[in-house]
Amino acid sequence: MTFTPAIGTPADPESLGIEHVETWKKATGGGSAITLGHVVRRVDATSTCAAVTTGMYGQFGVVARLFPNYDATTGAGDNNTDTSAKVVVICHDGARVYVTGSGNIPIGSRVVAASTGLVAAYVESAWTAATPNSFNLPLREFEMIVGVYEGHYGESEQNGTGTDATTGQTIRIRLGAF
Amino acid sequence: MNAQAWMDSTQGEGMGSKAASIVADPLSLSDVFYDTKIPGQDQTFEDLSKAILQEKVNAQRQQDRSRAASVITSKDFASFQNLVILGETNVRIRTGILTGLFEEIQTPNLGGKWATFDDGVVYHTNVPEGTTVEPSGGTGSIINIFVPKHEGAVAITYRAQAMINGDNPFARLTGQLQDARANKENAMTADEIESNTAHSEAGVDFGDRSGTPPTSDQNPVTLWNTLIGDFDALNKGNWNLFITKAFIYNEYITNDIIRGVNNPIPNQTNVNEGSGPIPGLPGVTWARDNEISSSTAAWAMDSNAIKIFRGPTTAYTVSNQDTETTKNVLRSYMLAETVDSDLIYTVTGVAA
Repeated sequence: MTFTPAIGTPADPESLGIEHVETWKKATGGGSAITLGHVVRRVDATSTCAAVTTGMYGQFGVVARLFPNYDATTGAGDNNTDTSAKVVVICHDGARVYVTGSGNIPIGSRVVAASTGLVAAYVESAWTAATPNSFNLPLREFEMIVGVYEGHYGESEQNGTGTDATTGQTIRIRLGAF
Repeated sequence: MNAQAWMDSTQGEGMGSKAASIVADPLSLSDVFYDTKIPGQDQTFEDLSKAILQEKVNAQRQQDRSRAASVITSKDFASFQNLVILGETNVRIRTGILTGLFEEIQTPNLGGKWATFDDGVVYHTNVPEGTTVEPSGGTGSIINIFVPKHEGAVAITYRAQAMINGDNPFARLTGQLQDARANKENAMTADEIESNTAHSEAGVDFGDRSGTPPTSDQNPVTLWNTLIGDFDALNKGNWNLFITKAFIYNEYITNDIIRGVNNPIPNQTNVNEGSGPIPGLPGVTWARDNEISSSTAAWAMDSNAIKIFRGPTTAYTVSNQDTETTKNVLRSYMLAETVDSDLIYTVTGVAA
């Protein structure tokens, strides 16, 4: 099988609709357009989203391959350009979408943000009695989960055919912690 | 116009193409016209001539293309050029032949039991006067059959359906679902065939050659007679099927002992996904399918050894106005199961 969906493609119709497709705010200016299929994080204080980098936590979405996000091939769409303050994202628990993985990701593992706009396998931090010395980081670690790695195109968690991912591959994730 | 002045300017050439090439300063040509006003206009013939000549000089000096002629090329009006699909190269999904080799059992309940019997009735001879014999009997076994579900789907958004006009990917891919289903069922049948390894027989490499010039040094006839004896000894079933990868068949028909060394070499064609009688072994069908993974083994069997259990097949469409999507789904239930492994022999080493 040689077909691989482009990143930002929803995996099924159930990953669309009012539950999972939203228009978020983004920065404007030169270079502010976000690559389709990149994972973004929306900052609560500013309501503005941007491509994730390693260690980020919060609300996550994926820049969608949907109109009216700008498509350079056809020239269609006004969102997600350098001058537009809007970008259409696929978001919220349960949505399934294709993104790019960074590093090796075991099948079924949770994934966290990686630079830039990618996801990597979640590795639980090792806390001691003295590190950290507050509750903030352990509590926040739960917010770092972007989703769960389900497999490559053609693989299914429903029949257990998923395989581990290697770096740079197009993979399907299900947004949400579980 | 002052004709004498014109003759002087053109060095006596007067009218004609040569005259124009003689004049060094084109603007001087305007001097031949009288300083008389053009009727109805506020300029003289000389002024008009001077203006025309000056414009021509400017155009030549500045290379002003807007004042020159131009040709419309294929690089123009790009936005008006439509996508023209001249034809297409389609993907072919192999459907295989293995599933069709075995009897289909309709299983609407998606499950059941398959019974096999091992009878051991004994008839005694030379029984002495005044006595009788011990009764005899047999046994039976049950195989549980659970038919799993298989599915394929294609989905598209309303917008994509409206905007894509050079192709209809939704209809095309939906039509391929049937072939994809057949391909997967063929693969499952191949896996079931190759899972039978309990009974085996050592084969011969049909394509092996030695000597100068190289000639076949393996005689398949011994193998055939061995397998005939194996099946005869079972007291059940009938050897009627021989399954391999495609190339092994070509090696067999070019075996010098089978074709006759003085006969022409049989035509070599792609025999994959085909079946037919075995030269030298009537009554047995040789089925070739490259879905079989082994490149060295064959499976000799009675086709009743494996059954295809099939449940209902359903095709349906889900159209969701909220998500603006249409999804076509093909769902089937199918199981390839060995019901009597005694009737299957793995023949090893038929190719190298």
